[in-house]
Amino acid sequence: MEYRYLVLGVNLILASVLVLIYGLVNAEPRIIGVAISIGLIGSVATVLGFSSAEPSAELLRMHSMIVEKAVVKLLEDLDLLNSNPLMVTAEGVQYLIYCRNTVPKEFVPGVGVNKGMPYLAIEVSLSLGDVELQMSVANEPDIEAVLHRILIENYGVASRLITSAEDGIFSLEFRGVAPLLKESLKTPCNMLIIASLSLLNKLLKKPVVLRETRLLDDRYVLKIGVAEGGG
Amino acid sequence: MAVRGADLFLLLYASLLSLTNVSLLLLGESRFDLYILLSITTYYIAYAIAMPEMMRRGHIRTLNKAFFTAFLAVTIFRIYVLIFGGG
Repeated sequence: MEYRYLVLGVNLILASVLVLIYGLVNAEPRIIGVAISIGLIGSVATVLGFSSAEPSAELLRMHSMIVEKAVVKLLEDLDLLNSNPLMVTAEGVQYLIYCRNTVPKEFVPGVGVNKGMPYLAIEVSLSLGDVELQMSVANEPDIEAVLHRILIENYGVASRLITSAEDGIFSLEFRGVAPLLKESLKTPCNMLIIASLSLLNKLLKKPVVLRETRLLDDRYVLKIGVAEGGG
Repeated sequence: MAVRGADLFLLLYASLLSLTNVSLLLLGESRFDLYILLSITTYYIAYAIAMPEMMRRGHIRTLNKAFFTAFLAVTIFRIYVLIFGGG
């Protein structure tokens, strides 16, 4: 169900009923015609609202759940389930790395061993569209504005994002997380974590690490900091 | 912000509908059934140009059938009025 279309449709129908009553009271066929027109577009928006998301989105959601389960199982087997994921850029490619120690100096995508400890490195590509160009032009991009633009306006991950920074730790509080993403919030590799880490890595141009996650009713909080040097 | 299929469709439909209604009002058209006919025609034009993937689903087909039936009913009513001068 798409609530925004539903709200739009119901409001248009209500408006059309009021205009229709006005037209009928004043015996004005032109007003009646316009009222019916508004009612028609209102009914179309309402029906669109009752359709769930795009059909392929449902299939992609299932695919994402299957892949998430596989990654969680792999992390469990590698004893990395409670590790803090890192986002690093190597040769222009971003990698999400689950490891026990600090940023590994050398790694290969997939499962590997660094200083006797296993790690899992996954290649990440997050499209930023025109924001990428703006970021390359600006010396110091407005982190809060870019995060809001990408996560809220472009990807619609939540209805609101509150960001703050304290002692080098960025706190990202998502309110009203999109229903499609809510199911996977408890997994350590959900899309909010990946997208936030990826964006902050691009904005700060430094490896970043997820310090803490908190899920409180309608709020989801991520605390992300700059990762310590390679080891 | 990227415009999704359904957004584009609604935007196009609303724009075309506004254009049609304003034109009819400026022409002083007082037959309300003409507003309905052109609204339905506009819907099908917008549908043909920017049909989003989600509109292939069952209940949208029901809406299409309902609009087509309404279009036919209004047209038949208008022809009836023209031929028999009643209504």
